[in-house]
Amino acid sequence: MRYRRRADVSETAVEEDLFLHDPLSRELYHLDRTARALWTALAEPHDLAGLTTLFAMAFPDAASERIGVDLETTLAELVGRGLVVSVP
Amino acid sequence: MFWRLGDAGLLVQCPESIASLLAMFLHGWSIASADSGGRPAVRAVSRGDGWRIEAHSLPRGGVDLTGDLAAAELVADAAACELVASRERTILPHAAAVEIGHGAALLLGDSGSGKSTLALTLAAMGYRLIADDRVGLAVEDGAVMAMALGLAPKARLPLPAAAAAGLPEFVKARSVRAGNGVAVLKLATDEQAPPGVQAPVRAFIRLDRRGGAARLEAESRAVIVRTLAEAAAAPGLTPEEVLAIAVAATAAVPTCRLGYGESDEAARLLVEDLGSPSRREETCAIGGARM
Repeated sequence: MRYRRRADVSETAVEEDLFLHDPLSRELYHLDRTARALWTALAEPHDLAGLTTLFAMAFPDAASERIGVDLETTLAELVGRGLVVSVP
Repeated sequence: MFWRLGDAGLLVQCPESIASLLAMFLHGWSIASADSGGRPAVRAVSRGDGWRIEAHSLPRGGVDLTGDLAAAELVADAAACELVASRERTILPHAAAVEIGHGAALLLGDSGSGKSTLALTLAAMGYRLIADDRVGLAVEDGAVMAMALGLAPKARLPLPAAAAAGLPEFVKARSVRAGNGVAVLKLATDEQAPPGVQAPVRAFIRLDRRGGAARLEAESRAVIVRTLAEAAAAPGLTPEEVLAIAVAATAAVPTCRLGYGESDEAARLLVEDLGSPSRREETCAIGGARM
């Protein structure tokens, strides 16, 4: 399954963090660095395996297993909050 | 019955039994009976054996409760929210604020972080209180301003065992009502800024009561933005507008974290860092030392 961030969610950068505003739920979200990197990557559709490869290249010192777990958790949270959606 | 509150003439509808208690919770607000004159901003409607307080700022437009005292307290809070709502682009974060030197230290933190105790400790040292729990916050022409609402400060009882010397006496002498673990205070006119008075914010300070020696450090802007945005009521503003105000405010003012264990040490550190003598040097003795 591939995922992509919703285009109508607005973003505001504050230093290394990112705040999102969902116009549908009217909720604000605060993304830490990992979640911000994932959000940035999801400007284009990716599946989890592709994201893991992308992050493993970006963070060569991190264990790929750990990257996979972190990504899966963060992705599930973004999907659960409706900020990221699955695409064909 | 109808009442006009404050300089803005906020229209409130409530019985005299509640109106007569408002002065306990609203300091510096005029309260005068009025003709109906339009739709009230806040009203108390009798419901069963209690009251329903209705105002735009309340969750789902209204809250049910029992007792005239509780009703008066909520009417006062709602009136303060309406005062903020009448100002352009002003948010209402849960924060304490105290004038130190030529501006305000705005104290943020989770419930129990000691905002009110530290603010009252500073007030006992002679620094003018702007707010102990909620404050108006706006960015005007690049200046970040804290606005007093004139809400009665409250002290949780019993005060912490490590409360600053002088604070118990300060609280006791100004307590107008104590019950359910809370003392409602009435400060003198030079001890608390009247509603509508603004002071430039000199620093956002997130309180972290972690124990140990008091230490003031730089805090991530994002943490302060999140704290402000999460803790702010903002009648009439969208969450995105609240965020924009929080971002603009933290761009203009230093963001700090105050780790501390005891409020008197934290208060001294703030005074040392933000500098300048109190407004009432003749009365500011705490811990046996004059500041």
